[in-house]
Amino acid sequence: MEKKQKLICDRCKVEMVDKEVQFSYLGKSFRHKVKRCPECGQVYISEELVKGRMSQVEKMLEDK
Amino acid sequence: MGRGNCNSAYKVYRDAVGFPQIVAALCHEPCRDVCPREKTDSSINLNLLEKACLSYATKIDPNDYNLPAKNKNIAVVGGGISGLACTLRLSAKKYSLSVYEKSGRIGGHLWDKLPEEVFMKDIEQQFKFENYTLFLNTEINSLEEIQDYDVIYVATGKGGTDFGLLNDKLPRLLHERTAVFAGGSILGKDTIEAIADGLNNAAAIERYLRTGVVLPYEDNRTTKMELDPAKLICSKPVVPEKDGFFSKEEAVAEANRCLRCQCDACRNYSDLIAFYNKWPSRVRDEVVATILPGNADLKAAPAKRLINTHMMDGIFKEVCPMSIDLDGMIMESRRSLHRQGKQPWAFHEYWLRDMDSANGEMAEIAKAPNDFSKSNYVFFPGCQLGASDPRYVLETYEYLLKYDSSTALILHCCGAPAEWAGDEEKHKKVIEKIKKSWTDLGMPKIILACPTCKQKFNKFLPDLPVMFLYDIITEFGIEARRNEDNQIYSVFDPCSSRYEPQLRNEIRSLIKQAGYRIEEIYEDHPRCCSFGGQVSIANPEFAETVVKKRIEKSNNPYMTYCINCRDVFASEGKPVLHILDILFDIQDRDSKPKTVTQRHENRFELKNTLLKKYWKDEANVEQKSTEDKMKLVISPETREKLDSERILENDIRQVILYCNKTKKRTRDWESGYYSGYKKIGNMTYWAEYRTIEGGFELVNAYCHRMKIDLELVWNGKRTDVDT
Repeated sequence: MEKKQKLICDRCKVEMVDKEVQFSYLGKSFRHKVKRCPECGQVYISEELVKGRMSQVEKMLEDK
Repeated sequence: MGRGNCNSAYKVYRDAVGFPQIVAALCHEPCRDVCPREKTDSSINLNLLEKACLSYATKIDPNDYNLPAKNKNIAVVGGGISGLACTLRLSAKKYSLSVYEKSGRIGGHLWDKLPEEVFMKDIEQQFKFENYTLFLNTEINSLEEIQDYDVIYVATGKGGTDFGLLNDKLPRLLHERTAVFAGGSILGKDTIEAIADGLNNAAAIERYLRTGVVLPYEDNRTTKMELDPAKLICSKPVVPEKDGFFSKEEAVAEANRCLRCQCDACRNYSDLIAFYNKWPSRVRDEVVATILPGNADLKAAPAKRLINTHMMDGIFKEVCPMSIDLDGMIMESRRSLHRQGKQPWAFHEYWLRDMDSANGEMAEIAKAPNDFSKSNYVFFPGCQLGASDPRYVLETYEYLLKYDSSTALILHCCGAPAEWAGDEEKHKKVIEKIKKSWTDLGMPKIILACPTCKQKFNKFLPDLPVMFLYDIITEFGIEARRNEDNQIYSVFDPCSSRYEPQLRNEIRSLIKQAGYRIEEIYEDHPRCCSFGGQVSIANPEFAETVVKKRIEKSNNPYMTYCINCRDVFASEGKPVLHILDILFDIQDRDSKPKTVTQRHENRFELKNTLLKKYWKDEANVEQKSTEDKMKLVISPETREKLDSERILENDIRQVILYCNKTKKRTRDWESGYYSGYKKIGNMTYWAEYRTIEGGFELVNAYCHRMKIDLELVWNGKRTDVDT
C-alpha cells in the first residue's frame, strides 16, 4: 500500500491541505487543486503532477 | 481519372479550362512536349483523356455558387471566346458583367473553327447559372464611352480595335477608377491561349478589384524541377481499340501512366518536412496563419512548434530548384512571433540564459596581450568551445600567440541564440558589443574556430575581416596527436560549412597530415547535427530523430570541426572527435560531453585561467557568490537527472538558499525532506533537500514552465487567500 505522505508547511507548522491554486502560462490562467498551506498559501507540487498533467497542459498551450 | 471517377475528372478539367468541349476539340496539346514520359515511352494522351471524361461524366452541370452580388461593374469588349472566358469566371463570383459585341452573335472566330452545336452548347452549358448583360451589334469606338466601369477587358479578337492600348504597358489605369486589361487573339494568341488569357485576366482583374493593385497575371509555366530518373519506369501508351477514343477502362489505364510529377526536392532532404509529413506549401500556409496578428482565442496558430523546430540550416533554399527560401520565411516568422509576444518563451530561454552567462562578467574577455595596445589578430573561439573544454581555447590561444604575439582574445557569443529566438533587440546588442570590442582592440583580423560564428559574422558584421583558425594552422604547421590505433574516421561536415569549400579541404588535409585515414560520408549537402536553430527544447523528439539519422550515416567514428556537432553526437554515445582534439591533444573519441552545469563552470574556469596566465596584473575574478560557497551534496544520479533536464546546479542552489532564508518550504513528516521552489527567469525550479552537517544534500529537483500565481498573497500584498 502506498505510504501516505504528511506534509507540513515549515513556516506555519500546519498540515498542507488540498486547495485550489491558480496557475498561468502564455497568457492563460487556470486553477487546480494541489497541496497548500491553509495559513500562508505556500504550495507544494509533486514531481508526478509536474511531469504528468502539468507538462501536458504546457504543451497544449504552446501549440495553441 | 486514375481512380475511374469521371465526374471528378470532369470537374477538375472544366475548372481548369472554362469551356471543356471547346478546348478538348481544339487543343493543340502543348503538354505533350513537356511530359517527362515523352523522353522514355510516350507522353500521356491528355486530349483523349479529356474527351473520355467528357463522354463518361454524368454530372456536368456547372457549380451554382450562392454568393452575394458584388458592387463592381466590368465591361468586356468583344464577345469572342476570350471575353466570354473572362466573363464566365467573374460572373461566377457575382460581379456585374456587360459584354459589348459589335456583330450580331457571340463566339467570335469559333464560328470558323467548330460546328455551332459544339461551341454554342458548351457556352450555354457553362453559363447555365450565371448572368451577364449582352449588348449585340454594339461597337465601342472609344473607351471613353464605357469609362464608368470599374474594369474594362478588351478582347476584340484578331485585327480588332485596340483603342491605342497596345502601344502602352498593360494592364494600366485608364483614369483614377477604371483599370484596363486586354487579352486574347488581339494579342496574337490562338484559340486555346485566348481562353487561358481570359481566365487568367479574370484572376488579375479580381486582384485589382480587391486590392487596387494593377498587375498582369503571372504567366510563368516553366520549372527547374528535376524528376528523379528512378521514377521513370517504362510504360507503353494505351492505344484505343475502337473509333480512336478511349473506353472507360482504357482511360483509367492511360491516366495511371501519369507519373504525377511534382517537385519533392525539399521533401527528400528536409528533416522538418519528413518529421511533420507535410508538403512545403502546407508548411507555408500554416506558418502564415500562425504569424497573422490576432487574438489566439479567435484564430488558430497551428505552426508555433513547427516554426521553432526548423534547424535554420538553409536546407530548403539550398535544395530547391527554384531557390525558394522557406528557411528565411520561418526565420522571419520567429521574429514576428517574438515581436507579437507570442513566441513561447520556454523554447529559447535556456539558450538565451546560456548566452547571457557566456557574455557575462564571469566568462567574457576582450583583451590584447599586455605589451600591445593594438593587435594584428584577435581569436574569437565562440562560446561553446571553452564550455565543452577550456583546453580548446587555452591551447589554441597559446599556439596563436606563437604565430603572432600581438593576438588578442574575445570570449563572447556570436549572438546565434538571440537570432534563433527571433529576439532582434537582444541580438542587436550582442552584435554591437562584438563590434565595439573589435574596434577597441584596434580592428584586428578575426580568427574564428567555429563555422557557425563565421556565418553570423558574414551576415551581421560583414565589414569585419574574418578568417578560420585552420587557415593559420595550415600555413604555420602543427604537430598533431598521431592516430595510434589506425582507426578510420568519417568527416562530418557541419551545416555551417556548406559555403566554405576551402575550409572543408583544409580540415581534410590537416586530418590526413596527422596520419588519420578518412572515409567520406558522401552527403550531397552538409547537414545539421540537430543543434542548429536550438530546436531540442521546442521539439525534443525531432532533435532525437535527426541525431540518430546523422549518426547512422557511417559506422566509423566521426571527425568534425563544430563543437556542437561533437557534443551532440557524443551525448548519443557516438565516438567522435573535434579536429582540435587531435591537433592539440585534448579529448578522446569516447569522452563524455560535459553536463550543463560543467559547461557554465568551464567558461568561468577558462576566464580565471587566462587572466592568471596572461593578465596577471588584472584583479582575479575568483569571487565566489553566496550560492557557490554553500555546501551542496548531489549524488551522481541526481546530477545526471539535472543535466538531462537542463537544470543548472547554481539555480538549485538559489532555490535552496531562498527557501531556507524565507522558510517558504514544506517538510515531509516522515522523511524530513524539505521542498520548495523559486522562479528564475520564467521557469519555476523545485528542490527537495535535507540538511546535513555544514550544508545540504539535494534529494530531487524538477522544473515547470507554468507559473504559480497568488504569490502576492503570501508576501502580504493581498490577504484573500482563496481569490
